[in-house]
Amino acid sequence: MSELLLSTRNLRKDFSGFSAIQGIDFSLNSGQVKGVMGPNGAGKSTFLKLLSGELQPTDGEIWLKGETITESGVEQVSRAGVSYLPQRPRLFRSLTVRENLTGAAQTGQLLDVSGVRETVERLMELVGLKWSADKRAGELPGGEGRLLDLAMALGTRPDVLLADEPTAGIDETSAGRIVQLLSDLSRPSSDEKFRFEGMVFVEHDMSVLDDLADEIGLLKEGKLLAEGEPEQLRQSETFRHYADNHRTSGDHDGNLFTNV
Amino acid sequence: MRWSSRALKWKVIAFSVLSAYLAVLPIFAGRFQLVLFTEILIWGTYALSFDLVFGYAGLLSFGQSIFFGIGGYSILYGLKLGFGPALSLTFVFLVACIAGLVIGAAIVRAKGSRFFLITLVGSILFYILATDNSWLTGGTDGMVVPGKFLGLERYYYLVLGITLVLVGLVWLLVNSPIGLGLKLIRDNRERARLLGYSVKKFRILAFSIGAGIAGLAGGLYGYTTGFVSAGFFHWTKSADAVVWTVLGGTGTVVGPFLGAALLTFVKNTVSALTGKFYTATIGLLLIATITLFPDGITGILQRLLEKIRGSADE
Repeated sequence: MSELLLSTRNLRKDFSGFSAIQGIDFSLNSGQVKGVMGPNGAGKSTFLKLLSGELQPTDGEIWLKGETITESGVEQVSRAGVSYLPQRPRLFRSLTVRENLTGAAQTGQLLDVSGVRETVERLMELVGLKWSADKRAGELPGGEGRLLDLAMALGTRPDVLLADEPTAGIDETSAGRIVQLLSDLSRPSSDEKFRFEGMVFVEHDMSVLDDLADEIGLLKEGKLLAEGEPEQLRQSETFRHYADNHRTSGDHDGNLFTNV
Repeated sequence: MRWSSRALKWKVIAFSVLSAYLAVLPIFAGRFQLVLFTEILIWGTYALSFDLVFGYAGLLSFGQSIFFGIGGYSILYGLKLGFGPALSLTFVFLVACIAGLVIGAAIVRAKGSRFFLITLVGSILFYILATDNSWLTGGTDGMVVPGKFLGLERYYYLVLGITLVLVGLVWLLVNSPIGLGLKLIRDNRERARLLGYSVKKFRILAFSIGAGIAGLAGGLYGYTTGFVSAGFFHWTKSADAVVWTVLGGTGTVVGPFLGAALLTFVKNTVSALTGKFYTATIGLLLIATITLFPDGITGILQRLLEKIRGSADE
């Protein structure tokens, strides 16, 4: 079961004069959910963008199911089975919810019109957007927009889901629904057709991390400082040191550690 | 683009009525009207090619005249080589498609205003090449298309038939999964790529099909008027396609035809009255449309229809 799904070796990303990711070795096994946390500017989003192919690494390698995707563009990575849910919703705002989802579902099965229609219906049920099918995506309130975004990411039937703060900035009901969905769909025993094999997500909210992550990685200044199961990580020297530092310095992530 | 099955039904009825009207037109139309309608159909088809490239694929092309010209000369040389009209028109479509494929592959990566400039310079370049190589093109004096005159009615029906088939095919295309892919890319390119769409491939495809249609329009224009010249390539021809489509309504199949019909009609009938103010009139009309009705004539019609339906529901 613990077959290697996604991994990086010495992954680096330099922006002009500044090194955002400084040699990360990371691996995600089949059936695993990994959370990534860290202060603002730690490189969390950059790390996910590298995995998704949206950014190209300066150095290092990325492997997906035994094949390298280091050089692949975002559309190739997507077709290889990695879906990326960006931090801010990116919807097709002038198109309807149904068109948005059809667009996602038809990739990979362009000619199977009835199969696509079925997939779209199921997706709308899953995220509770059935009654908004003919609304324009741009008219949806924040929470529903986020749910649509997630449904699209699932619609391509990915093996790996990359989610950048999936619950940030939306109402509690929608956030709860998203956490529940991600938890259900990442369970290996799930028989839902949108089940994925593994997930990497960036999160500030400790309770969400606890709910979803099998393991948490602590990222700071482009380096993976520590990794481990939530409880285990919390006990570690590195984490305690880090948490103390950030609580006293009044970092943006202060709220993150209130329940440490 | 929201359309229920009821809206679709109305569209089908309107399309059928219009087609039927156009089919019987030669019975009561005079020579002048027949020529005018033939021209309108060709210009509408030509504008449709731009609409596919801009309204659906989001590429602001000022280069449709390149393919209009290529189409014109392809029919000329097709007929000269003895292919016959049917085969020559097929030849026209294929040559223009391939030209679109090659040019498209080279330039679709350019974004926004750069794409516009490249295509504009392209059509100027083709015009200069055509005027400089008069041994091949006849220059601005042009060349006569071989074959004898077949009668206005026959030309009209030929153009009408091809136009209806093309409209049907384009409608199918834009409502197909490929059409949805184009709309996604137009709306949010980055997200479309995240879902696995190759923006480049979709755009090259749309540009190439658009080129094929523009080529057919040029071929039909050359064939029905019996004359092709370097002027076919002139950039103002590209501008015409833009103006007609924007006026009629981008991103709709019927818009380009409405725009082309209105302006061709005005040009041929009212220009006698407005004289040299014609161009200025058109310019003002266009500015007014873009600022007041960005969705063009089809947008105005749609709003009217919704109002009528709304008051009927009350």
